[in-house]
Amino acid sequence: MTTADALRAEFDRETRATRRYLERVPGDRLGWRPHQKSFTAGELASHIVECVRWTEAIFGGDEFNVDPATFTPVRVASVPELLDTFDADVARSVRVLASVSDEAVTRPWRMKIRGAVRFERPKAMVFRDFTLSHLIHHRGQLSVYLRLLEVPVPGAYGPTADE
Amino acid sequence: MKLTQLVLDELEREAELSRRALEVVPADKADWKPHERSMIFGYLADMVANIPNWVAMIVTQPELDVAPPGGPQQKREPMNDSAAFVAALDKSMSAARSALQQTTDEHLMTGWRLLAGGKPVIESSRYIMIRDTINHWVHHRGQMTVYLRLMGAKVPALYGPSADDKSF
Repeated sequence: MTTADALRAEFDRETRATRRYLERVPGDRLGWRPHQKSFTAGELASHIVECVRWTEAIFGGDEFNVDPATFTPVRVASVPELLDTFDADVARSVRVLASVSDEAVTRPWRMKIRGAVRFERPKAMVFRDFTLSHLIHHRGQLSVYLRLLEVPVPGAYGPTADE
Repeated sequence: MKLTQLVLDELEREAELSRRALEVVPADKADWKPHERSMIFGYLADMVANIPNWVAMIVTQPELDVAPPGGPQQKREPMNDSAAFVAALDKSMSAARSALQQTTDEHLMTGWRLLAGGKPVIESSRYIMIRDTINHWVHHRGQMTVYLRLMGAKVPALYGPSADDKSF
């Protein structure tokens, strides 16, 4: 198994598990937040789509420049829109990942902020960090939101109190 | 790309994020939980501190029984403040680091078993088991950041800025 194959398999596994969480977000509670400083449920779910979206930026080029002043976060208004956006981003990412070679994942990738290099790391590392771990981190947060909203929590790595 | 190096680099990066989360753990809140069906905070923080031990076990042992017949071999003392959790993380990371530094990519592709009560639950390559372990770690640390927020602690920036730390 090559590193590229391992990353593809993991992306498939994690995005499948993630969809089960997103499907359960209650449409009438998108504005709910557990604390005044927290993301709303809708903002958190939208941000999870953004994690998937990094795949194209990482494997479609060798650098990415972000300007925080003009960056517009993904914000969905309903659960159907959330799932459609997620599915479209996953499908696009799968297409990008399909052509990634084992050599390509070791190539350096630069993150720039307003043109200045913030870091340079192998693409495999950036993908694990920006896409996979980032997504799992926020999905973990979403699991607590679902619990507090009295929604049965799907299992990700083991049983939950509900499954 | 060498798998051992990829895993090691990633563990080091995730350990740094876990350390940030464990450093802000409030004292004497081990029994707190946000919902009656949630796990208690102390258990969650204990996993965030100790999951790298699982990586060491996957590399060095042939299998692990999470519910061994006859009960657990050792019971850990509950930890109650951030210093104890951070010290446990340092110890578990040192075990994971040393196991990975002494292994090979070929060994990581060999099979490993997780058992419960003597029965196999999952059988996969060591590499896949380690990957799932790191993801599992990130999952519980994500949950822990919501607990920290609800407990009134300052939430550190991990993959991006938090409401308390915009320095990212």
